[in-house]
Amino acid sequence: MRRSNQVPLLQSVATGAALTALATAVAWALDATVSPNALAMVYLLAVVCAAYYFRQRESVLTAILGVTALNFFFVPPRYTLEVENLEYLITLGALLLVSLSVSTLAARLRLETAQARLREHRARELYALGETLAATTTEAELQQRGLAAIHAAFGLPCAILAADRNGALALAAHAPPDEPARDYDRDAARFAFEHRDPLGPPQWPNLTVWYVPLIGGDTPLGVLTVDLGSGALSASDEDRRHLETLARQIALALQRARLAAEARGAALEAEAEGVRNALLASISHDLRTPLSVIVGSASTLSAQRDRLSPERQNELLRSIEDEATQMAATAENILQLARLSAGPLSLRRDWESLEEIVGSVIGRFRRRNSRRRIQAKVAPGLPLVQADAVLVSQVLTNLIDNALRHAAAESPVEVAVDRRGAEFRIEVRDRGPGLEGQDPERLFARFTRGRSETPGGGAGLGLAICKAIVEAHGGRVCARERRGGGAAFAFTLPANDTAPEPAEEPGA
Amino acid sequence: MKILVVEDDADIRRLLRDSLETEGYAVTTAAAGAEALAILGRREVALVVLDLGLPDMDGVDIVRRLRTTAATPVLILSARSDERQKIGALDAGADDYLTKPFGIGELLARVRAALRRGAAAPGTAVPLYELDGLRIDPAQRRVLRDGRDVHLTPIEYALLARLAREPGRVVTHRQLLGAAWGAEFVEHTHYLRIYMGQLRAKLEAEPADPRFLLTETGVGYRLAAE
Repeated sequence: MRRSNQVPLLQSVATGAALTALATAVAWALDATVSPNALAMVYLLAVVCAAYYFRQRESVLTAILGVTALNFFFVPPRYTLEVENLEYLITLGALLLVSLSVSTLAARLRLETAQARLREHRARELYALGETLAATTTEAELQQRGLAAIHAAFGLPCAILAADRNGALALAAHAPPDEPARDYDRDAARFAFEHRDPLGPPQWPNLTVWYVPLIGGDTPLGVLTVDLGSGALSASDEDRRHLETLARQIALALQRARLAAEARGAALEAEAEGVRNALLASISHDLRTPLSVIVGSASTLSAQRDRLSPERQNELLRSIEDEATQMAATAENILQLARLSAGPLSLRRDWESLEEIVGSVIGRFRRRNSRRRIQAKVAPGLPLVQADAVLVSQVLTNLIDNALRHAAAESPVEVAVDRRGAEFRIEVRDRGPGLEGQDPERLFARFTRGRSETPGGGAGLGLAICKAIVEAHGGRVCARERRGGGAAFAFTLPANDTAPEPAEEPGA
Repeated sequence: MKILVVEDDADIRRLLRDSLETEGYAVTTAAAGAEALAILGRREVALVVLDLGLPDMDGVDIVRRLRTTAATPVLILSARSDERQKIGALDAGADDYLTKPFGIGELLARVRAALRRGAAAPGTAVPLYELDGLRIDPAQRRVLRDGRDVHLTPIEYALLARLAREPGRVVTHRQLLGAAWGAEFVEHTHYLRIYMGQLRAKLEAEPADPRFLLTETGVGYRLAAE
């Protein structure tokens, strides 16, 4: 992994010789005033320098050369390697011993310092990786960020082979991302994955890639590969341990993401199931209520016709007609719901005019029941909206239907349309009992029935479909209490694009 | 006056026949497309009431084949889900449509309107239109609102004239676009939205609740006939 920077022997000898020469020069200057015993201190100083600034080899060389130089230049008889006095022999011996000890100690100290620094650095890397992974949720992102950390730590290309449900390994991510992924040995990866044991040099000297299994909890999730390239032989145990620690972190994060995704999937499924049940209950309610009226009225007519007044007969006939119309509206809603559940592609978007949509929906209500007052307040000069006109008409129909059903027969219903910034806002206002303390959010929630049971029913399915349609268009629905009494149900549609204008017409 | 009812469902066929006969029309019925075409080939019919969901053939084809020989008005009955088929039938020359379920009152009103149009001389001449203070005078190319001249651009006038050719009849987006801009523009429905908006602003007292220029969402427009 990290290459040790080898210094050629010749350079070490030169360094030792230079330091010794320097010490000799200093000693030469002091020679007249002090004894060789004191000069030994100068050489010792040189050894300490060598030990501090260079490596052990330089300091040992300086020690040996220094002792030799002291003996040769300053210990009588001078310019020989002989020693005439026992005292000097002790000095030389002590100098050699102390010099060697100093160089060994200094070297060990330096090594320990370096290791402590490396450990601190790696602890920091580990911590940073933990932080990064904790802030990441998707598996793909976790893989990318984990690899980025490993690449930063070792400076080597790496990759994650992820296991699928059947345990087959496939390349999922690699770093650095701008380089092509390195090749790897499939058998070696398989072996590491199946035996849950790292595989690589130096135990397997013919491999140049480290294979570290990613094990989250008990589940093997894949294999991390680190391509050592030509530096394969210099990977230390320390490096390998660090790599395995990082790999463990990544594996745990991957495991966490996978469990979270599974939990989300299960929750979604449960919700879908709940929605289906609520939908069926709602449809069945929305059909059963008008059906009871129809069956009741029709059977009354067939059993007691001659005993009923003509007015009463007409009333019963009218209610059969009204309720059947209501059932047709429910059928329409179910149809649109089915269309929406086919996905957003089922929207038939076109450039549409809200003024037209409002006008045609109000017109349809008026043909059905001309006694009710519906007022349109559409801001003039609105741009076109990109929407599915049939579905937006359905939303408006449901909201107006809802308002008419909850408000007194003589009170007017208003439909207001304007543009606010990047959206159109369409609001249907009534003077009915208002929301009656209901949570506006819940009114649109799937198939909850707003307000107390009212004759006609049908609000549950209707509002839920409004919400589904509006959200499919990228808009929002909301409901509020109206000042002065009543409720206002509104929806928005995005107004960020503008329709292409037709060519300017002469005489326009 | 003879009306041909083409409907595969026996109950609805019976209901339509009874209601129309009660109103004094003579009614012939057919349960399938082939039978309907055979009847149309044999005898004079004043109006065809045609259900689009027939078992043996596409209702659009029946309209197309009928149009090669006769201008007999056709009133389409359709479920809401076959919108494209409905538009196809209108483009092929059907006069009007009703979405199931419908009330008999509405059906009778459409039948009366279609018969009235059928009785008028067919052609591309635009008749004088006058309703509730709106007057379209094709002879002078003038449009008056409460007695005052309304200035329309050539395209606005072309659209209005196309609608006024057959008041009460649905004119599809394609037909209007073809009439005002030409055949190569029949997909540009947003042109229509813009120009119809301008027309409503000039002709309607309440553009968002129009009296004259009625929108048939997803299909086209009609000029109110009554």
